[in-house]
Amino acid sequence: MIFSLDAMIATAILLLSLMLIFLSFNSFAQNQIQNTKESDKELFALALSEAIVKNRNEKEPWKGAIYFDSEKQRTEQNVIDAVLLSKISETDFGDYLLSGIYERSSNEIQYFFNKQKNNCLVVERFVVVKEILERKTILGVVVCEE
Amino acid sequence: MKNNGFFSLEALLAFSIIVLLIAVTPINENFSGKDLFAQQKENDLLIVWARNNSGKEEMLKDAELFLKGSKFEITINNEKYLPELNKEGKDVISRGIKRSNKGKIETIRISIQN
Repeated sequence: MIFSLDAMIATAILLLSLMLIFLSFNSFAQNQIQNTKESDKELFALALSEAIVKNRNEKEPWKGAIYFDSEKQRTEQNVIDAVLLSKISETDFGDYLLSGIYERSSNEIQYFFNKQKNNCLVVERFVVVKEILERKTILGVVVCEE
Repeated sequence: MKNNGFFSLEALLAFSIIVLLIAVTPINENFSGKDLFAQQKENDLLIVWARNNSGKEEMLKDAELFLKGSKFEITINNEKYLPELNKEGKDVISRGIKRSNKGKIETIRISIQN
């Protein structure tokens, strides 16, 4: 006999365990793919909301909509220019869409626009909106999958 | 190979390999944006409070509205304005900011329990 019975059993156990390990890796990889997709969306939504409340871009206000104080000659983070905010509309970024922006107070939600699609995620930011009078509010940025 | 014991050397080797392979199998550690979301929320609150020179009551009201049911704690110069969080076994994310209030430097700190 080339192999002893022990060697055969050991080989069978080894093959079985390799198969189990392969299956476990496969399921791990599938989970990771799903998680990565979800985290990509979360990071995108975080970055987009961060851009809106920290930068100013008059031509493309989704890149930044903060207020410019002409007296102090500077912008103020988390202080939103109501005019620029109202100019933000649905924007397609390929895999993701900016599908809505709303303002939430204690008892109501008021949408600037709302075109929610599949698998949406909301990031809320605490900001001051500057119009003639300024008000503290919660700004919601809705990001959906294409 | 002559088998004198319970297991032969081959079987023992095979078992060792199995144990080794199982030991190196990666554990699924999910990334979650939860911590980043919490940090961002804390930053937002602190920036607005520092800018507006908000008082204690206003801070509590803002945090309750914005954090919607999350447990949090606010301290001003190490003085707590909410019961202490039960931090055992839970992730607590804290951030602080210094502001000048009537010439006095104040440190405002907020902690959110995830």
